[in-house]
Amino acid sequence: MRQLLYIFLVLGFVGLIGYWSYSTDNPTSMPRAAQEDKEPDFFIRDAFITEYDVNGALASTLESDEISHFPHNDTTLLKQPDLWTFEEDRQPWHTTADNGRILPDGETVELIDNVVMIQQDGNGQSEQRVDTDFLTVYSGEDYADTDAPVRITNEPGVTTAVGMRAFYKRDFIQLKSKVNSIYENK
Amino acid sequence: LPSDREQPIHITSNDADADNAKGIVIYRGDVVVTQGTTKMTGDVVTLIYSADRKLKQMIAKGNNKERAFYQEELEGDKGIVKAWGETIDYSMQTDTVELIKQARLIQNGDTFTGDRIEYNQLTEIINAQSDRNKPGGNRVQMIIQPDQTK
Repeated sequence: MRQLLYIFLVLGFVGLIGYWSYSTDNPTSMPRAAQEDKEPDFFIRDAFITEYDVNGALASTLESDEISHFPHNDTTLLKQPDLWTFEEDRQPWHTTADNGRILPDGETVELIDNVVMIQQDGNGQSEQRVDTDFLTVYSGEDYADTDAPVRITNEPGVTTAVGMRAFYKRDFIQLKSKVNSIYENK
Repeated sequence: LPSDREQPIHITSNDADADNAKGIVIYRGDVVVTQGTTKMTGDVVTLIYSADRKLKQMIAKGNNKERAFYQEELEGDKGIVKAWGETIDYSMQTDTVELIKQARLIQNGDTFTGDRIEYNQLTEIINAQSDRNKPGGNRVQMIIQPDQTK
């Protein structure tokens, strides 16, 4: 009889383990789990990231109030991204925005709201400035693209247009439509 | 007008390419350039800058439907000079406007046509040429209106 009780206890225990493991693998209606999927798997606050090129020269620095990676769609969100990109024998570009998103390919970066790109001249003065509300940077192919309105300030003129593609390494900008320039002819 | 040179230059077009490394901006599609009373239109207008970002030259090209066009008010109420050409080359450095191919210029009621016409903005001197190498080239023609009809 004692053995029978003992067997029941063991079976019960095994059954309990079994049920417990079954339930964790197959959440039936577990809203809490679904919610957890949308949580970031890592985030960095007050991030400062420095990147060097293959020759050890400074390539870029990225500051952001918060960087969060979301596994469910493999995107990374950035708050207040502040990016400096450096290029040999060229003045650096300083790019800021309210928000940013790095897409799963890791090379495409969407900058959203109050996007400002400034290239300084040798004396730290703004030489070229691009203002827009949305910009996609294809860093793997060295160009940035938008279909949103843009404003380009480039001494001695100011140009507005709708849509732009900027090949920033070649200093070549294509304006897609509705181009309007004013040059102060000093 | 000479005072035009101090005015801002205003340009509108369908699209544009800016090659800052070479100091060239190309405007395309219904391009209109205005600077004070001076106006230039074309299908494609190219702006060329010096190294220190000063505007040196503007080249307007027409298309098969419409030639490039240039117009400017003359000083002292002498009316407006109007000019057409397949290409108009406006040099800010020499203050000259060169009309190339199917060139036509009207000033003070007088009309000049030829293969190439050069107009000096400061002196208002007009130099018209025909393309001698081209058989049957457009010989220079001038229609000078008698003074009383002006």
